[in-house]
Amino acid sequence: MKNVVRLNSRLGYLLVCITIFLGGCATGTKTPATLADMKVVSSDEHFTIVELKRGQSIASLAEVFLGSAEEQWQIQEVNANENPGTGDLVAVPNTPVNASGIYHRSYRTLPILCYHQFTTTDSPAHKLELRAKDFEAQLRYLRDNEYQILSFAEAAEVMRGDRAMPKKGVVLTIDDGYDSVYDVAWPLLKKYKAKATLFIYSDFIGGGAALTWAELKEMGDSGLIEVESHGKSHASLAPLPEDKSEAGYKTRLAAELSASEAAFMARLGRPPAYLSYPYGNSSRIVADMLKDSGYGLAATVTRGANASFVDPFLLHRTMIYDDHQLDDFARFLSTSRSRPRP
Amino acid sequence: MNRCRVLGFFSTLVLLSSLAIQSTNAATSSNFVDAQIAAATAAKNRGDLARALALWRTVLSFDAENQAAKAAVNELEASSTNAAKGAYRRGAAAYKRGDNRSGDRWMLEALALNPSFEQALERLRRSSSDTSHTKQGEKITVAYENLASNAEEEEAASRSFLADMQALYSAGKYRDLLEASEDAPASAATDMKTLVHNSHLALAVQAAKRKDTETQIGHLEDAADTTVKSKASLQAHIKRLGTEVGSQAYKDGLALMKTDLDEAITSLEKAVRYMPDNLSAKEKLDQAQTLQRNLKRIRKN
Repeated sequence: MKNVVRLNSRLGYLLVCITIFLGGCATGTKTPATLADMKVVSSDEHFTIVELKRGQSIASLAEVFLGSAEEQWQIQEVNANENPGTGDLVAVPNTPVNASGIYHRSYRTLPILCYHQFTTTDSPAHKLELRAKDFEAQLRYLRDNEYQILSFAEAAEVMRGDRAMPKKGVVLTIDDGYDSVYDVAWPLLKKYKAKATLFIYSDFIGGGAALTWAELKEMGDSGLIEVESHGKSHASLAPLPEDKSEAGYKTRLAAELSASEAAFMARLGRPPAYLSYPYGNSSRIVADMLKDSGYGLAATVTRGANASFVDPFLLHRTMIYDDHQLDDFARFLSTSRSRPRP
Repeated sequence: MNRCRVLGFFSTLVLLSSLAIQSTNAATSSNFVDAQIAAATAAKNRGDLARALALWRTVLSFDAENQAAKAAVNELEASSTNAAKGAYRRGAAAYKRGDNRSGDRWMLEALALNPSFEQALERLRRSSSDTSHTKQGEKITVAYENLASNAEEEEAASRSFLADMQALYSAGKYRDLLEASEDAPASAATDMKTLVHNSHLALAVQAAKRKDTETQIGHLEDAADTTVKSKASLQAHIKRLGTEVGSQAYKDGLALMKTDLDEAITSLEKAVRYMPDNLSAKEKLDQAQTLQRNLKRIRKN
């Protein structure tokens, strides 16, 4: 009898230990996953094969291996099972499988949107002035529909082929440098953690209705906002009658660009890396000049989204006007086009 | 004895568990490989060679010795590369004969077959760039022509306006010229400045002839506003004339103090206007104005 009692208590003790062990396994890890947490089964130059552990997902694999959960589409594209569970094997690409985004039936495109001014009132002064509530609705739309908002620097990586063309990407840009960017747009961009690129013309900054250099620096230092060039005086960078000759045109261009660069160096401590053309007007001469000066990208206001093979100094941008509804906005976010067959 | 049975029971449990785990791993691996191969086969069947290749490569990444995967990867690499090169050649030929649209489509075909085909991407990029520059060129040509046309129209209007103004000046119609100068086009501003300046000088001379010094001063001041070169000499002349007018007004004011206080104040105000630095004129004006206030108070009472 004594032996039976002793055995029962030992058995009970063992059962308790097993229960505690299984309970511990069930809860899983709550801290962000790291490479050490990953169960790598095998790897070669193309793919790393990972076994999903409890609590892990494709998103966590993307976070660890590709730098961001937003890149999980790259993993889904090369796995037959797009929603693997615990214990399943998942292939993670070691380099972008298709950086150009050109596929069998379609090719990916990157829309760039162009804003100017904002207002908190319900009566915009003109069609380039967007109501705050409409801008917020657009940002919310991007968030709810899982768009990846890229900076211009990230867009440059895509155009160079150093980064895969995102499945659902978008770039937000704001031209000129009006003070309503700081007063109205900036709080909303922070709220939705949305990146944006401001293209400012240096003659305007510090003027009556314009941002100040201090505000630009503050926004730039946040990591959400890039500040880039829109020239010096907002004069068209295409040939004008007053240029009289190609030499005169080049002289005027050089003056515009160098003055803008000097202002950036003096006020922000660095030259601009990207440019948006005033009025969207460009020419081969100015595009070559920008390339030779080390600019990475330049944007027009030609409506449309950008495939990976678009000229990086003639990027398309779609202007957003006050009278655009949300369904217009959604149409501007074209991230894919059917591939026409030969 | 019971202890042995219990130990035996748990040993069996552990053995069965480890067997179950091994079975799961084998099943998982098999599931993965089978699913990837099925997807690769389906992709190949619909002509999506690039995707088929990527999926077969995942199998090889998992199991480098998988013979089926090795064979499939080799075969797909060869076929997609060849097909992509063929598409590239057709595209290049299309560009050469000026059919950019067809050229673009063949380059896209090449890249769909082989996404890392750099040459095809570069060629496509060049075509896209040419198209974009052509469209930009069309856009800015229209803008340029509009600007140039506006500039020509403005210049023509400016020449015509200046001709009319020159005619007025030659005819001595200086006042008409000054009135018309209000409507001068911006492009005529520089030339008009000279005509306006000379008109004021001419009118100042006319005023001097009829001894209307105040009008003369007014026109000289307007002339000074429209010049830089002779501004200093004009201002000196204006000051001299102003002193003449002011001195006379001061004398008149002093003379009128006892007979007509209101007129005296008017003259003294003129004196101060033309001789703003003259303290005597200011003092006299203050005196006259104080006297006037006192008289008004007395009359009220």
